Amino acid sequence: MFFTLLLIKRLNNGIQSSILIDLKLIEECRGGNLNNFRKLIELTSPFAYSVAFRMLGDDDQAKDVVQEAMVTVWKKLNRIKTAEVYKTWIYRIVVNKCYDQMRKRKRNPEFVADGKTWEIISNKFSEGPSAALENGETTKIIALLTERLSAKQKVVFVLSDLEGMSNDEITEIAGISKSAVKANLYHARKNISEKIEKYLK
Amino acid sequence: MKPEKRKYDKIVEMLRTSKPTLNSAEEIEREVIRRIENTSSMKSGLTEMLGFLFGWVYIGWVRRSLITASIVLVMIFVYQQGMILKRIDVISRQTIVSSRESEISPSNEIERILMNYRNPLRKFPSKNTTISEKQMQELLEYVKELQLKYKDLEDLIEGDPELKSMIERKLRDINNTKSNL
Amino acid sequence: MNRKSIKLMISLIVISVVSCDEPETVVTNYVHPDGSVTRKIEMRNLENKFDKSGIQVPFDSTWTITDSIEIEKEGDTIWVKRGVKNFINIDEINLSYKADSGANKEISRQTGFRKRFKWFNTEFRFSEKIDKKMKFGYPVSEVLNEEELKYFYSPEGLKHDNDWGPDSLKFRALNDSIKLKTDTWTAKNLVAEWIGAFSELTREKTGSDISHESLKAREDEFVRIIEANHENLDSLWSNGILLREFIGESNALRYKYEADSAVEIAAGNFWVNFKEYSVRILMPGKLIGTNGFIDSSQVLLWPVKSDYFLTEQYEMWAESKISNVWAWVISAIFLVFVLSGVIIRIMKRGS
Repeated sequence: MFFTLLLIKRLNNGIQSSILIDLKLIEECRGGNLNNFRKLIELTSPFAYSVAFRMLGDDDQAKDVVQEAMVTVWKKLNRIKTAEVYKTWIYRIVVNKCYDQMRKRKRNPEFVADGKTWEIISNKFSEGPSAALENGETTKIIALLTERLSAKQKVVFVLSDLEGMSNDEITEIAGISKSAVKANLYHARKNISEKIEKYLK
Repeated sequence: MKPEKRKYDKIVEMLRTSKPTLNSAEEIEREVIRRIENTSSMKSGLTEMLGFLFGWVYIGWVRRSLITASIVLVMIFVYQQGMILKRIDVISRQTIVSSRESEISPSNEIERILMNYRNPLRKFPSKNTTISEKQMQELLEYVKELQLKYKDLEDLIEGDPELKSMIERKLRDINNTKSNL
Repeated sequence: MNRKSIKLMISLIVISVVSCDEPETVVTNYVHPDGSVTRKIEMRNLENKFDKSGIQVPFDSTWTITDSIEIEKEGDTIWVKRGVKNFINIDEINLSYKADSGANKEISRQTGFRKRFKWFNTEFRFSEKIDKKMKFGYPVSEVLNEEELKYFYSPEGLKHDNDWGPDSLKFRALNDSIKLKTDTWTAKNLVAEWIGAFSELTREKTGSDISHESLKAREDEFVRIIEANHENLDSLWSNGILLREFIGESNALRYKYEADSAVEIAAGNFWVNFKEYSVRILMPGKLIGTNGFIDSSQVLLWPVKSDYFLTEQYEMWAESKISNVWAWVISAIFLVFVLSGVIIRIMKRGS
């Protein structure tokens, strides 16, 4: 438990340090400097893509969301005063666009998890803690685990347990209250745990 | 820790450590720049046109002159239209005469005939008067009728002294009123 | 003084001068925005007699003429002559007045037209003026009040409607009052005209006792003398009795020639050869002002009688306007443009 928590903290720190964008870079982009903006895209794309992919499970859709998010940022660069604001902005835009996609998708589900996915999980378990997943496997596992979750529950789960954000950060990004964050997270975890217990031996 | 919790944590950890890898970052970059440039070219055209049309807004004396000219134009319009409406209102209250070039229409045929004689300046001077035979006939018949009616009325009044005195009194009153006028 | 006699005398004089056989004439002026005028004449007579010398307005073979006959309800046969002519401008009409050889050639008439561009509207004014005959007469507005003046200038149709309408007593009384006042006015005008003419003729010769001012001061006295002796006016004048009463015996002897000339001048100005007619005007666009009478078809009407221009100029005028739609559109676009600029500036400053 202790090691788990330590790992989580270290990973959190890692994520935070990778999201540190220089305010100077943002300011340079404000003057219409597309070259500097390329750098900003380069720095932002990886973590924006990570969130989007984990939520949508589709490479093209995740890229599309990242592109739209960056175009939106370009239009509203004047409003970004600090690096923290930028970070929150990016996440908020990405989450909102993923949320829209997920609601659309609920009417037309694109991916349905099957029993073979549990085999993947079992196999990875036996490989040990250092087992790495490919994008395809990640998609299947997340889809399987979050099959019965609502869009909000899924967002909270991804941001909290997979991206390692605090409840306060999730409140700011998802635009829901802290108690709602806690409630949604509780239900998401419960749901996933039950599933794991049922299918994973 | 409960076993299910342990499994949960393990799976979550596995998912967390396996960050999705972005293969084509350049593609994203290219696409974003393309979209931005497309939007700007559209926007710049519009901005240029607006700048051309409304550039004067930022030049103080031009802006003030145009605003003053607009205010003056509105005031002139209001004044002009106000004056015109007032004059039209005055006209609408004027008497309307009957048309057909002020031709008169007396209440009955005989009056119409008699009017011809009463107003020499209108149609016929007093020296030369021409009327049709039909008009003459009608006039004579009317006079005859009046004479008969007058005779009947005279007999009636003479036969009733009370009625006679009442009529005489009424006629006196009417004459007095006329003379006062 | 027997007012009735003077009234009768003057009426008979006027009637005799008005003469016989004149058609009942209405002249309609259709005014166009470019200043041209289409004139239509309609003359109605009980006989088929339309001598050029008896027609009230200039009228000749250059007009498009149509003749017709109408039978009225009471069986009268009415001969109708109609004429139409388009005048390029009012100068043409004025030239025709100058060259007039008709019944009213002695009077001086003139038309006027004015067009004013006032951006949102173009205003038109058309007028027909008749110059006064008497030089020293008094305007009728000095003897009649507002209500009497309105009745005085009314067309015959309106007068008849009033005289036979619900307020007939009031209007007949008004009519009587006007007759009384205009009788006195007529006599006063004659005297004033004589005094004026006599003063002009004797300007350098007379002494202070028969100066213009001294005669003018005694004007009312002269009017009373005339009214008192109206029955023998001619003989009293030709015997020099009246003149002696006016200016004394010595002056009467000295200035008899000038006095007689003054009478001729006064009579000439007073007893004008004139035949009545009516004038109608139809203006372009919307009517905004006039001193005429509006009939039910929105055409303006004026009677023209000798009394009207005896002592003052008689003007029949009408004004109308046409909206300049293009000016309205341009102004609207300009205002929208300026307003948009102001709003854009406010928005940019706000953001």
